[in-house]
Amino acid sequence: MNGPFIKDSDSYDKIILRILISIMPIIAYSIFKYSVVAFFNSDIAFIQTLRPVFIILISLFTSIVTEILYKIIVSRSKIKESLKISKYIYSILNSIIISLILPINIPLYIVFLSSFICTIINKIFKSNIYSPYLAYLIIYILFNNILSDNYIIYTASNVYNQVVNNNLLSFVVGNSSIILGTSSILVMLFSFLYLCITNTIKYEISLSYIFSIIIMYILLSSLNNNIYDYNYMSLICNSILFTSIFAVNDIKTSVITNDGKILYGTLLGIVTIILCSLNLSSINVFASVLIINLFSNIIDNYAIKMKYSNSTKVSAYIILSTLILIIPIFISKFIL
Amino acid sequence: MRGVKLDSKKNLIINDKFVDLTNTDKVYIPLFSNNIVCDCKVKVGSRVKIGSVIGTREDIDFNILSSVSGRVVAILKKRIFNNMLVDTVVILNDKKNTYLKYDERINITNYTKDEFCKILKKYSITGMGGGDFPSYIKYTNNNTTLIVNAIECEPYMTSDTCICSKYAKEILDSIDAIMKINNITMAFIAYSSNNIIVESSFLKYISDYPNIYLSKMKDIYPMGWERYAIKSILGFEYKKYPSEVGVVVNNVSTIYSIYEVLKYNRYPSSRVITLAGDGLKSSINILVKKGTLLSDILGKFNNIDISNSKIISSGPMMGTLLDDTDVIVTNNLSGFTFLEKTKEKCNPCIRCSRCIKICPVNLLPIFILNNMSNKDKLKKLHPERCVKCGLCSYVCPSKIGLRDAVKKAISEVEK
Repeated sequence: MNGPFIKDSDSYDKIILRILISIMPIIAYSIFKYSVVAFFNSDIAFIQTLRPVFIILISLFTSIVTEILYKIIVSRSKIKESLKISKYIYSILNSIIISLILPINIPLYIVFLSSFICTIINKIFKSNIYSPYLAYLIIYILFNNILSDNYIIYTASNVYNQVVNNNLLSFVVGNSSIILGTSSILVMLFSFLYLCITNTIKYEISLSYIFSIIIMYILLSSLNNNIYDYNYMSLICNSILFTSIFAVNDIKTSVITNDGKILYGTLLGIVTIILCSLNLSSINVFASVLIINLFSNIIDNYAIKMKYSNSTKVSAYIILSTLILIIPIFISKFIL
Repeated sequence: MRGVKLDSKKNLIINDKFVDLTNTDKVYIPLFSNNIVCDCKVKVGSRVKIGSVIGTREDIDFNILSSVSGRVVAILKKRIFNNMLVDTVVILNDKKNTYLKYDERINITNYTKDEFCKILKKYSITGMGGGDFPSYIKYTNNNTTLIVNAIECEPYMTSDTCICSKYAKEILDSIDAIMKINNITMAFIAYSSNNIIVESSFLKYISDYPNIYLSKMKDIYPMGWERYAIKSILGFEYKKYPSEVGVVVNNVSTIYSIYEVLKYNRYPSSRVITLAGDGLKSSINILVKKGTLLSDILGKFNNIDISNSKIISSGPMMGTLLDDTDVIVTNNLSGFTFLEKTKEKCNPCIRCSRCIKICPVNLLPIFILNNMSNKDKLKKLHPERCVKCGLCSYVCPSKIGLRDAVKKAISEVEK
């Protein structure tokens, strides 16, 4: 062993803990919005105002219990050993994430099922942050009628009202979504900043993803003579922003090379735009992340070639830029 | 510039005091210089003086000199700082300190450039910051700028700070002489921004030297790497050697050695090293003869107990774990770090990409590790560009020994 003989104190558990900390303001805001504000500003029953708390707690409880049972039944661990909850920090994170991507009006048994499936996927794929999104995909297929995209339309009209009525501050602070985790753009950006400062996430992926989406969105809107496409705008500000912070830059499975991160983020943006043009829904945002993640290793290997060959690098970025310009034209001609 | 801010762990209360342990009984002179094995020029029983030729590096006709006067008693294998076993000439010190040659000069600038290079070669001056590169070669080029490296970014190590504190005036005289002899127009003394001792030591005299500047560097590791120092001070980048941009970089201890050569026309036979680390009660700087064994040094202190410590040659970032204390202090070794023995658990890679982001030479350490069995792929990843700073291993949240892997990859590629 030849050192170095001092090491940075950071660890995987600490990284996960920081992601959990970054999610806390999002949870706090969603509880504030759907419990406190709802209680004082509407006629709904008190018990209904506690829905966000129920959703998060059910998801959390289901995940921990599933983990404990899995440890006892499948891994044959001792009960005392299995009850150490601190070992399940990854599952705790994933259970919170899945509760945050579900709409507020979701039946509670679906919350339970989602968290259960998420934890099992976690076990199968060995602590993969995509498990909440994969679980969401499964739940979406199983309960398509319940998880329909009605709330998206509601959200879009909300965005329209706020922007048109010059209530932009309200829009940014967070009245544009009925999904728990995506309530406030400002709070999500605050979380993103915290994760960047603490060197927790691969922010290059998030930024290239968001930038590529914004460029294509502007082009698409211009081509369709509709500068403010509120459906897209709603999706960008909610699901896409949330995904760019908590999903696209997954530590374990996303790319790791410097150029690879830009390629990955941009390609992800292209796939997201294509899928969302077919059907404007948050499920397509999550699906695009899962699809592009399958190509992580290929992208990394290509990025290594780019690193040591300037011509490969230049041609890759030219192709990428061309795709960003051509895709919106293609979509507006053949899809929309 | 990529790097991390480390806890320097330096006892900056240390002043110019060091313990003189030059009165050693034996020295072990390695027949090894700058990774090249040298030929032995003495036999057992030969009498030597300080500065006598012990061995020669044949490729550049560069000598290895004796650091004590006395008698050669054996030629045997001993370990040096990187755990490598090399042939050494064992000299029994007669403690008379007889120099082969010694004459004091009043004006140390009274040399031509050619004489200067010859005298550096004659007295085997090599880089004392770790490189062990023959210094005269650096001065054969036409340089315009001299950078004196007093950054000492390795945690715990304070030998350069100690030299600056004790010999600030002599170092400035030496720099001034080097500049005049080599037609160098300006010189910078680079030091870490948190090192107030170096700053205050030079500030006392710097006004007398109009072309020598103090250059405060960012307190990050590896700021002491000459590529970073040049970039930070002059804004220059270069391909292979600083001489491409007319710059010569010398460690501050090397500069003081050059002073000794210019002033006294004699071989600088000793150097200051640091003994430090959590395994010691307090850090200490000591003056030792080049070729002294660590075990002999430790034997002089009754209050040092290192039974529960791991011993590292040099600092904890770039140093090597030593098997025992039977290790020679060479010209390029700045000290030893003693850290408590701990068991470190290595976890699987979580693909956080920190090793890639931090690497100062843009390597892909984790890919090098993963392709260890594939020589063709390894070659494409250029592990030979590694500067062995250890940052990849330092930042790894899974505590993977990436630096070791890259070192292994270098030897695989070179096979």
